[in-house]
Amino acid sequence: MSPNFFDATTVNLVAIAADIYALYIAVVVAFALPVHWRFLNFPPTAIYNRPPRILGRFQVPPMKPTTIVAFQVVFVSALVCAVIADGLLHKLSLITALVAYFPVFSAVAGLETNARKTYLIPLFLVVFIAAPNSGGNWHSESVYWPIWALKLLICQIYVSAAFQKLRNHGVGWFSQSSLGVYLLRLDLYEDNPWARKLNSRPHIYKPISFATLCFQATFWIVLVIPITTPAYLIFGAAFHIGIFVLMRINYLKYLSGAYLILLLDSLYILLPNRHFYVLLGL
Amino acid sequence: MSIDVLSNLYGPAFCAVLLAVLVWISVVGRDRWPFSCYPMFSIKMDDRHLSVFSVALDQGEGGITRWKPEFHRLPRAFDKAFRETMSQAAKSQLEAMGKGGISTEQRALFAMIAAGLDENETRETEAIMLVRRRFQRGSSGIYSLDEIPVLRVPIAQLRHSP
Repeated sequence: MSPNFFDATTVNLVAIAADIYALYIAVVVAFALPVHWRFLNFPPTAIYNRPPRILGRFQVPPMKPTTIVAFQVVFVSALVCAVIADGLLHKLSLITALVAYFPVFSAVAGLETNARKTYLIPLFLVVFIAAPNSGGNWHSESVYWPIWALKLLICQIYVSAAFQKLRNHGVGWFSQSSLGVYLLRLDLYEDNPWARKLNSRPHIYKPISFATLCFQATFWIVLVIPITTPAYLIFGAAFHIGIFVLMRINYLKYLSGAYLILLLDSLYILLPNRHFYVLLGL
Repeated sequence: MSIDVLSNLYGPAFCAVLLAVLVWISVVGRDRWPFSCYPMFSIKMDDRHLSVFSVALDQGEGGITRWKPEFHRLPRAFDKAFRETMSQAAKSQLEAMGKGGISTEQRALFAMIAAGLDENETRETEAIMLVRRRFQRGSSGIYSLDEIPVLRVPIAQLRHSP
């Protein structure tokens, strides 16, 4: 099966995606609660006194740590409720989670695993809220376009990142040692053993930078040729694991939820109907 | 238009609006939470960026150790904040002269760090230091690290800070 934008899906792929994503984010945020609590109560984190504004305009008012944690509990509960519930209650739960997201992540935006890494969460929730039948039965037929919209959101991360690099540097981005300087700068802050190891082999930066730019700049292909999704899923996972090892930047904590959607889409594309249904217990 | 036609247009219309917003945010190159242009690692970096302000704890006979808080991105936030105070240095130089060589803003930053030290660290630490850490490229192209203490504030002074 290689679905296109206007196709119907033989199973309710949107409902499966909504349930998987909501459950994944609920579990991750629930496990992050102790870290968030320590972060909120650690005096030096007061340095992050300029949280992002919603749409660049609206500031979430400062709140006590207990209030923020209460919002986190609401956020997690709403996501769990969205998984369990159908129909209107499912949509209301997603809307509650969307509203709770902003006070929760405004307060802990300075945490290294958060900031831009959580930006997909509210956008995915908006797609699930807008998608018809996102809280329906997994067995029923559905439309494919919400999955396409989710892939578009993932795609924008990489294509825009490539565009910013090309805008600032031109195609010369991969031909210079900028990556090496990034690693060394990271080493100045928090000891990065890779920076010094790679410093003696500077020729390695060029292929890494070239591969990064190729991967990011071509990610849009998954939107027009869905069969390429499994390949980009594998490249993407390898790319983020590489970033985590080299730079201690953990994008995958929250982005894995989005990658699960790519995995679901890949399985739907690759597997024959019968095997796909068996895999999901349908 | 019939309901069928409208429902057929709903998906494409939703995706078209989403696509337009995402293209706009990428082209404009700004962040509008939760939209972002994802500018990470797009800034041109060269050797001039290989100099940062780092916080260290002077533990007397225990030596000088780097401040390594649980939240490992904090040192870069303090680097940025100290950098801003340095650019204000000329402005607050007179004020600083009368307060042991540091400005009010710098003292506030040191006090913030001191408040985050646990009991053991507070007991063992004599002073908090600001150290300039810098990589310098040698003639062979290999970088070497040098560290220059810039500021030192006894922890007792910070405990009595307002």
